[in-house]
Amino acid sequence: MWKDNREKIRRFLRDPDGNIWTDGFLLRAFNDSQVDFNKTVGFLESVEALRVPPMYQMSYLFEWEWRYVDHDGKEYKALKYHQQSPGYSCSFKWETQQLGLTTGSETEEGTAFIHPFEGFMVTNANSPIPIWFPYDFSTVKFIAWDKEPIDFITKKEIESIDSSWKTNSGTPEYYYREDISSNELYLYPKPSSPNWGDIEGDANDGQVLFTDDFSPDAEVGTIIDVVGSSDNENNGVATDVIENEDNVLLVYEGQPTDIQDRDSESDYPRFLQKYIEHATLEQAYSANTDGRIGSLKDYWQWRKELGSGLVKKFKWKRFADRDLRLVSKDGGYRSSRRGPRLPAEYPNI
Amino acid sequence: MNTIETHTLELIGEDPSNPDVFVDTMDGMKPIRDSINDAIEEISMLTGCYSEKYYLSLRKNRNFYRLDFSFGSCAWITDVWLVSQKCRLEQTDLIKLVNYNPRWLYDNGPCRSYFQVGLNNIGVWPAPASDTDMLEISIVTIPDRYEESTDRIKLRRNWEMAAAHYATGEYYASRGDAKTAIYHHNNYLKKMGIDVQYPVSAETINQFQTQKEPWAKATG
Repeated sequence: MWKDNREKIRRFLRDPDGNIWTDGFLLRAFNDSQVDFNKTVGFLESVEALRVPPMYQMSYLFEWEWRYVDHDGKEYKALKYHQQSPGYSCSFKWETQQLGLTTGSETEEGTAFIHPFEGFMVTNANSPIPIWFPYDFSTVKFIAWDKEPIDFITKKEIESIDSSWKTNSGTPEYYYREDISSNELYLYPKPSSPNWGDIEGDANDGQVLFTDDFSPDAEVGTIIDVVGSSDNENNGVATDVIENEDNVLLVYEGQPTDIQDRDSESDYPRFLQKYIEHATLEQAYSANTDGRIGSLKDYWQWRKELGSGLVKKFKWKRFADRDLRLVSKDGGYRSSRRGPRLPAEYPNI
Repeated sequence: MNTIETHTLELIGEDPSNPDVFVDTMDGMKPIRDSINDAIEEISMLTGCYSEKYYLSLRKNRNFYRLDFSFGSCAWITDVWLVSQKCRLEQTDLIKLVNYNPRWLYDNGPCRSYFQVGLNNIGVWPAPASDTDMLEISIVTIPDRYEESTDRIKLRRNWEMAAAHYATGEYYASRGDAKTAIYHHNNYLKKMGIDVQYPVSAETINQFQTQKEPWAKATG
């Protein structure tokens, strides 16, 4: 937890009471060092199944509402905010024409929705439905819809080939993003028949949260958090089974999330956090304060760079079990499939 | 107080049997134990000196499994054994799988290969056809941090002194003595065979020299 990191950093700064470096400064320096560490050595990778339909905790209509929603990367700005006359949020395009005092009445395709999961409840949602990446998402390594890999496509390409791209539904073959700050992706075409959960709560809620056995309906796909089983972390190794049917399966490189308060935990495991502490100490000793000491700044900078080198070495050890073969340019792929094996007690010939 | 702690206290001039500052309590020894734990973690991370075995029950049609450790942290996988088939799984990666068969998620049958995602996720291919198989996974593990002098230290004996120098270096760093801190940390690096040098005198610049004259010589 951050309080433990901070206590250790303050011990090395010889400033236990915060007379020179404030808690806020150390927290910002630590968060900044986490980002630098991630750029240098990477490391944060994960695999997740993204819920389809997505579960947003809160949707909002106006900018001023944003400050009252949970800022967990899952907030959704719903409907059509009318940029030309702030203060109005519209469900349909013809409403904007009324605001613009024109006589047209643009025919709207489909049904408006406020929460993204509602978009899947109607057959003809009038705008693309977003699904969110994990909060710590950085880049995609592999993405699949219902076991089929899907490719990235730009919105420009979709608009060029499909005039009904906003409402078309079917089996998703691509995904696109509006921007990178919103952490959202859109499946194209929209999944035509997402399955609704019938577990834990009202079937009409549309959210599968968890199930209490290992055999949920195969059509209900999400990360299954198994409860009521001896397969938990108190009994050795726990298995969190990641479901990929009728879901987006995502393997991604992550980025560290900022630590917020004293009880927050870094995304890095404890055995890597010390290198981030070293970088924080370097920043602290280089800041123009009464505690600025060049030799200690150099020392912690050395420890930081040394640590980066060691972690890079460590990363390569993960390939220690890999069988690598050199093949010629035209050698082609050689399957490593093994044939049947005789039992060990079978006599040698 | 264990051997590493005793040696560290002697290196910094404390009397282990009657210490002034680092008394033999959890709070009293916390700074030293923090440093020794950091050293043990780093040594385990670099040498893979400590490993555990985990038995993972496979589930039908599931390719990915997240491992939650109750003791220590997963570092890397060294060996995966498919118990029912009595064979080891080959390590692979997503690029190879997608290149081999873009629809690899549809395959099922006895597992033939595995790959690690991040620190504690493992993927297998093909997905198991039933709930009956099991993997025996050897995992290099970063041990949990010890808290009391009676806790087990998961470190080879011949690396214990290296950990003591690591802790001593950090003690001097916490006292503002960068020069002595560098000396002890270099000692730790030498004992661990980590080939990293740091000039004790920062003003020395090492460079290659040549006897050649800087201009072309007339020949003939």
